[in-house]
Amino acid sequence: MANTKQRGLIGEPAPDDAPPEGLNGDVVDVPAVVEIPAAPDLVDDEKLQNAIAVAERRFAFTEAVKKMALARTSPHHWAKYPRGEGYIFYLTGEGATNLIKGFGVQVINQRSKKLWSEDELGKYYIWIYTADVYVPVFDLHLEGIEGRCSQRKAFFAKAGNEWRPTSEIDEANIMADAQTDLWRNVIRRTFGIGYETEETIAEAKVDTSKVAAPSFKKGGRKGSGMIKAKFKSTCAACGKTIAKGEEIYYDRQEKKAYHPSCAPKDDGGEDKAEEADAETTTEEPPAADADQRAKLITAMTESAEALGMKQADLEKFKRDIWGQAKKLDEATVEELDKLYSRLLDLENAAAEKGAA
Amino acid sequence: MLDLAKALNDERGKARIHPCHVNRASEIGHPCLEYLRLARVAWDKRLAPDPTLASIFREGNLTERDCVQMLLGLGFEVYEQQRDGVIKGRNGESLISWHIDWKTRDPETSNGIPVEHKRVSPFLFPKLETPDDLFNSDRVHVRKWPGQLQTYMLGAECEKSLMLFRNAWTGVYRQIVFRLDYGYAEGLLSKAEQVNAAVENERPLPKLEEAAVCFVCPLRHVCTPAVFGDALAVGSDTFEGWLARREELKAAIAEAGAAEIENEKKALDGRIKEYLGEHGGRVVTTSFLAELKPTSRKATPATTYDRLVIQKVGE
Repeated sequence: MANTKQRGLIGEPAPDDAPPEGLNGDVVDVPAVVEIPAAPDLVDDEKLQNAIAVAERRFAFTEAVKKMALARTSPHHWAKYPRGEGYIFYLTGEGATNLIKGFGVQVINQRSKKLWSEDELGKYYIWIYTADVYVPVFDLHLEGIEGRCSQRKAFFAKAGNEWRPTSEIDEANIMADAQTDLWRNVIRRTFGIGYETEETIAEAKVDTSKVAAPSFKKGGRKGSGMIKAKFKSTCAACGKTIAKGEEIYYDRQEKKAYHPSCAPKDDGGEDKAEEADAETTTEEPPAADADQRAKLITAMTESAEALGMKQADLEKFKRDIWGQAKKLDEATVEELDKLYSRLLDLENAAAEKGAA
Repeated sequence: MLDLAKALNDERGKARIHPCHVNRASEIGHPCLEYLRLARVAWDKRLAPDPTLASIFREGNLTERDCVQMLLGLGFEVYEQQRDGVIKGRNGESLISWHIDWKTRDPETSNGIPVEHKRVSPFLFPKLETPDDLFNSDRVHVRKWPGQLQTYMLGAECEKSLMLFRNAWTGVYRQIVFRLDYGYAEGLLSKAEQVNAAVENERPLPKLEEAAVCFVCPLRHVCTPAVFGDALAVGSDTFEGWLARREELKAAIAEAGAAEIENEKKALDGRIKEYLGEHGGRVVTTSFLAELKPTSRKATPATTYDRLVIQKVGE
């Protein structure tokens, strides 16, 4: 008689109740029920506690080294810019290289590339410097840290309100600035030091009164000076209306607009509309247009009220101008400016009709 | 409003970058070969001196003229002012161009001696006494000076040369006499040949990659060097304990001044220095950063020793 044993699944008896075969054809004993052992503990409580303790120690160590690093800086390693009621302190390139050198940071595999882009002024270039970093004291490896600088950076590209021609911009300065930006980013990413409050700097016993606070040339994007009014406003001295597009003196510090003849004089008897010099060559602060947006929104609201526009009318007007429904808070400065210009046109047209 | 200061500062702060097609005597002593090559091929990308530095250079030129006037008034011979030349290689190629301030006459031999006038910072002035002080300076621009003079001596065929230092604060002078060192001068010539070959073949040369030099190099953005900060090890808990105990002892000594405490502190200092020596000289822990700083005493005889410097977190 032929051997007609059938295989059964492991744990199941063979259909004919005969013991199943093993891999080599041997008959093997397989229990009817296989007990699956309980899953092992994935989290060992003691190991977890140790890991937490190690992490806490590492964190305390990192914070301590950061404090030591701050204490090793000097006033000339920082620049301060107004922020609200006080200042924000910004680590300069010299400060960053001081910390790189003093704390054993290794910046390796540095490479650079030049990218081209285009805007309404024409083609312009951006230099990007990239490097990998190893910090032995933290046993920290980071790759692809970048620093960049554009030909359009106002500090290099503008003289007052005018854009310099490309031939007058020294590309070496753009390249060096991008590399300095890389070194600052190295420290920011590894030590967490970059923008600090006055309290943090003072705790590190750096004399904040000796930290440079750059001022900028009159008429520059960041400085006080003569500009064309972007919207209808009021002279802070005589109280009379300033029309949009009118030549005014804008005091950026006080955020006030004046007729040129009303511009206040400083304590030395000099007209504030005189040129002020850039005192340092430190980098410009981050841009903030919140104030401009707020003023535009206020002016637009007044204009809409003057025209007798209800909210629904204003919403429709916005959709017509912008091509989409959008809240005022979400619009850019350019969009707000465009909308306000159209409202002013309507006001002027209504005024002329009334006069006629 | 009349602003004389601004007009003067604007004028003094002007700086220009000049083309560089031949190795220069003033640069050939630079320790980085790649810098010397880039100074030739990327001279137009070189960062111009900032207005303050340009003003310092101008001040140096003014004091040099003042010095020449004084020497002439004292009866010294001053000739071949601003004379220049080029040292040629075996195949007639230009190796190093040179440009001396002036020559004066050695009264003993009647031979001409090239003189180089340098106006130096009052902090640097006391450190410049021997040629070795220049070679070992931590400032790269000072390390270039011996090469400059050796090139002058080769080019002008003189056995001796003189570097005159003027203290920028007090106007006091100091001089260092250099003798022609043929071995060193040959080294400069072969360096110039290496640079020439690299320029012609458009291939890079080895980079120095020394952080203190690279961070202030006017061609760092073209070179993109790797930079390595000063080595810093992480200390053990035992080492941290020694440092903490040392702080306690210091406080106790300040209070009581007891000899036993002082002895314990000295013993601890020895162990700390030994640990630092075994771990690269610089160690950080959670509360301290300790390092050994080489320090020299300019007494007679001059000595050097490792000074222990400890920074506590929060200080």
